Amino acid sequence: MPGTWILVPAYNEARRLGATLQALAAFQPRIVVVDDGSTDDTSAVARAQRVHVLRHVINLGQGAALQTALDYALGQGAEYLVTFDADGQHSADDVEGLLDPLRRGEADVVLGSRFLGQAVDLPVGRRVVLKLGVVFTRLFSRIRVTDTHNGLRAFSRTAADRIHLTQNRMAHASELLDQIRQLGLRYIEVPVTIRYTDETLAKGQSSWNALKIVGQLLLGRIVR
Amino acid sequence: MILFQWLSLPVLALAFLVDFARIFRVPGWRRFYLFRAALWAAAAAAIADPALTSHVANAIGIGRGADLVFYLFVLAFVVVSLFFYAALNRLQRQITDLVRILAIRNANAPVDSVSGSSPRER
Repeated sequence: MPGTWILVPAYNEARRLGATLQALAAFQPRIVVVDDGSTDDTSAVARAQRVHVLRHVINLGQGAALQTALDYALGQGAEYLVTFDADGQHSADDVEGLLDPLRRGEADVVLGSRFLGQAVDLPVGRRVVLKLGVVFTRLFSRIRVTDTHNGLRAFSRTAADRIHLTQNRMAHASELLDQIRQLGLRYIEVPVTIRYTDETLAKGQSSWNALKIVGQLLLGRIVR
Repeated sequence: MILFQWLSLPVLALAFLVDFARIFRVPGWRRFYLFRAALWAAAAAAIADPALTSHVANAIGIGRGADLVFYLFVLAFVVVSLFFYAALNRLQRQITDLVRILAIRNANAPVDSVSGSSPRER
């Protein structure tokens, strides 16, 4: 099935996934949920909706789940692919804004930016770490973006076919930016809204993970 | 000779002889056993004649034999660590590929969807 596919990696999101998929109802059935080895009923919640459900038998990480979703959707003939978090932080209203530049042929990849849009209830500490991430990305990946770790993105089929994420966990976001530059893909940022809650902040990566990501990326440059 | 030399030199001599014999008996692994035999021989020489490391160290501008041994260990540690990190990464990629293939092959599509081409497997 060609057209727009929404890719939703999910890990232990049984409580929030249903509402997220309902918000994306307009895109059904071209939604693929990849259950990344959840220990709750994430898969069952997804199967109750008109969506495609894949399941990793072990937990590999969001990067791995995204790549699985990309491979599956491309195999289904997807023209445009949009990555969307399962936890309800993203707004379904932003999807069309991500797709417009792709449809007009202005870009191969469209990246959502909470700093061009809105970051509702973003703690100060997390904001500082994200901003430092932007500086690191400009130095390390040599790509100018305002938001380096936003899960709301859209790809043309051509771009998605050329990208291959090897970082299974959170370093995949930085790896993606690396690949965008190395492959010479045209990219653009658009404003999106990210809503934070105590729950999503508790589950999201800690600020200390930022150091781990830097370490993984630097080691990845010298070791294959 | 001190006790440590009495204990370690026979063990190193045996290890050297075993690996030296394997150089000729295990084709395809000649270079590996040659390297390992040379390692045992070098260790035995350094233990049998502790002044040897100082001579070698001085010849390449390092003050003490102990410093030379220390530097070599640091280098070996870095090389071995990177080797194992790379091996771990390769193993992780293989596991990821396997889990992905299983996930795609066992995908649940909605009942009323029309499947297009078969799921892409890299």
